[in-house]
Amino acid sequence: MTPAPAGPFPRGSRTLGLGLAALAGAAFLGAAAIHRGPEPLPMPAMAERPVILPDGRALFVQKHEVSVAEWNACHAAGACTLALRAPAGADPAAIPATGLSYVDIGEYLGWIRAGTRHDLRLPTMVEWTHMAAPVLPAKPGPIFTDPALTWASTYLTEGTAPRALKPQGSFAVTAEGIADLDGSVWEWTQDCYAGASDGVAADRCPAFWVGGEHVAAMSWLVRDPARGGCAVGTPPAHLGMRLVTDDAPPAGRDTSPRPVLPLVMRRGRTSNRYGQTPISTAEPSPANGRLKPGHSNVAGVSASRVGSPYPTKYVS
Amino acid sequence: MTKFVNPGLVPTSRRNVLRGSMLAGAAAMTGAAALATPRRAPIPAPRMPAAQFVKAEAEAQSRAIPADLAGYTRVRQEMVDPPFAPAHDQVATGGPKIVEVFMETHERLMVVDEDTGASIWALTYNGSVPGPLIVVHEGDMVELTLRNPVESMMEHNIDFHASTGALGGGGLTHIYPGEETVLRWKATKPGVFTYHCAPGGAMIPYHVCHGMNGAVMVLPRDGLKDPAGNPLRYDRIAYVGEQDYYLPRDANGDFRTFDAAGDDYADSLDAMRTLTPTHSVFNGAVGALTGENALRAKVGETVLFVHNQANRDTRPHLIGGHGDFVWETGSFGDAPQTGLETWFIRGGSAGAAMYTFEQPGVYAYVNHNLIEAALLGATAHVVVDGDWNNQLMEQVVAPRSFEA
Repeated sequence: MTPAPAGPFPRGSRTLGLGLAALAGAAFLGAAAIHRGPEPLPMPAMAERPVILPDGRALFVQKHEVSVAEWNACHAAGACTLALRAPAGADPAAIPATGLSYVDIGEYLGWIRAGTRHDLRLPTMVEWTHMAAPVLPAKPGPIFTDPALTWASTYLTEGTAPRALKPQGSFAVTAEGIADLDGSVWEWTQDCYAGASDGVAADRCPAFWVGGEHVAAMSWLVRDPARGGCAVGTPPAHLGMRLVTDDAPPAGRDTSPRPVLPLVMRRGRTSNRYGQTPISTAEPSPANGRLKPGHSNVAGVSASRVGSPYPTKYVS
Repeated sequence: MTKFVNPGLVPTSRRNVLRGSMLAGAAAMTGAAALATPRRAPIPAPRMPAAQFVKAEAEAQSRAIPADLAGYTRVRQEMVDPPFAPAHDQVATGGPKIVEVFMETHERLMVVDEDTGASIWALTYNGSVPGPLIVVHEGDMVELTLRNPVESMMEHNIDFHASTGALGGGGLTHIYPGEETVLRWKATKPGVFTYHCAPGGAMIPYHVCHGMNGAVMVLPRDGLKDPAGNPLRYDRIAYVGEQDYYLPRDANGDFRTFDAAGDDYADSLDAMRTLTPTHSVFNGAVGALTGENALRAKVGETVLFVHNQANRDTRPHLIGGHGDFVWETGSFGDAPQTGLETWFIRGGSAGAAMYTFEQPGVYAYVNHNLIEAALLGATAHVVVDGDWNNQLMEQVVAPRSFEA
């Protein structure tokens, strides 16, 4: 049996088709070279309205968590190490990308920032908590009031969220249009948790807060927070992410050239001793040791955006 | 409180292929599987007790002297779902008893891990994994009525490690869907013992690894004692059944789903042959004894942990506590060991550990192969109320930076 031609053109017209395609490609490349480099990635779908934070700032938030399909675009581009797969029978465009560590997230963030030329980032814990408050269940009282038992006092008040991975839109939607903040995916924030030590640099931070039905601190290496062990609480079911931005996303299909952030290939210290990469507003440098040569376009975005609306505590 | 974490109850669909005997089906599947997937290891032919053996045993009983039941009082023990124990006396009152218990086999789709959606067509006694705990005293008789509903796909039976004779009762209790049987056996050995389904050949581990096991506790008539012979009493029992599951995966590594009990037979045997469980859980599912299902106790209360593992070795450890008195092998005929950190439960046995809580907080009761505890699910939590004792432990310096 002769294998059928792989392309979209019927047998016989293949040569012609390829020629046309090549011609079109050349035209595209030429146009792009003249105007502004490769076509930027489309912005992710944002919630209908921004969240207004207590200090009056507007925060633009992705409507859904980053999906498997969105993630895999990053993988296909060579920027994200992991290739994800939606559960059998599920639509990758509708299933949240999960099983992601803070390191993985950094790869995606670098890619999407460079690709969209938009200052997308992870939310802070304060921002996340504020946007999610309307849909999160009221916090029950602690089960232990003894100060010596603060470590155990939130037990049983956690772990009421559903744990099965569901398609986007399966859970609550806020007034702003943000979906699934109360779902089974916990979302990485950029806020470091380093116990009593304050001011730990992001690239030395052992754990970050993740937002979900209950707030949890998660080691930056963890992709799948298993239940059990010594930890007394109920760990998050799945780890994913939702991006935010302080700059209003372009309305509709905006094709006007946007100010391009300087892309800096960081050859020096882009990761800590573990190969970890910081992901913060102040120092977004998602390149890490696993990045292949030749991908400088997804390497670190410059740290110093003048007028960054609010500094984070771990400027390194 | 009786609460199952397995909401995915689906009734067994009765298929006409099987009038009870999965064995015929299994044999047929062996042939089919050999054609479809040549690399699959052959499924061993089931080795049932030969018909003449069962017949001979029945005849031996009919020739034997009838049991003398004079002096026994009949009582009925209502089964309750794990992790709880049925109402019972710790010290026997009155003369020996014939304790009537009723169990029904249930084949049900259970969620093993809600996070991943992993599920299994569990084979159970009374619908729970493990099956219910039976509690009697030494010298009592257990009289079990075992029923296999007509909706079942498979045959079932029961082998009591605490009993004497006829494959632990397995040779006398083999019932097909729509059948029931009654078995009476005398509890001559004090201790905690496994019971499990054992329908023959590869079906034995198949049924056991699908949840069909539980424990019997045979208390000494005068109750439990420490090594010096002083009485030991408990305030409550935590009945933990540890279950190793071997769930088949598809080509992508996802756990497969099946339409009916028994459909996973050939694939399960392949997974079981690896001897590497995909899950090792307490009471049937990941998280079945944590969170809102956690065990509860108070400072000063004594809990007897009865830990059953019908198939595979395990090593319970109470994080932050101890085994004050431990009957590691399960025999109450031996003096308990004292003050243990971790104890060993051999596969195919139950063990018991008694602990009096001295501090409040949340304790984790784990299989201290921590990979199994954290990654495979073998973790329970005990929420203990009470006042903290700084004499036993105190945080002298809260974590702080030493460079400050």
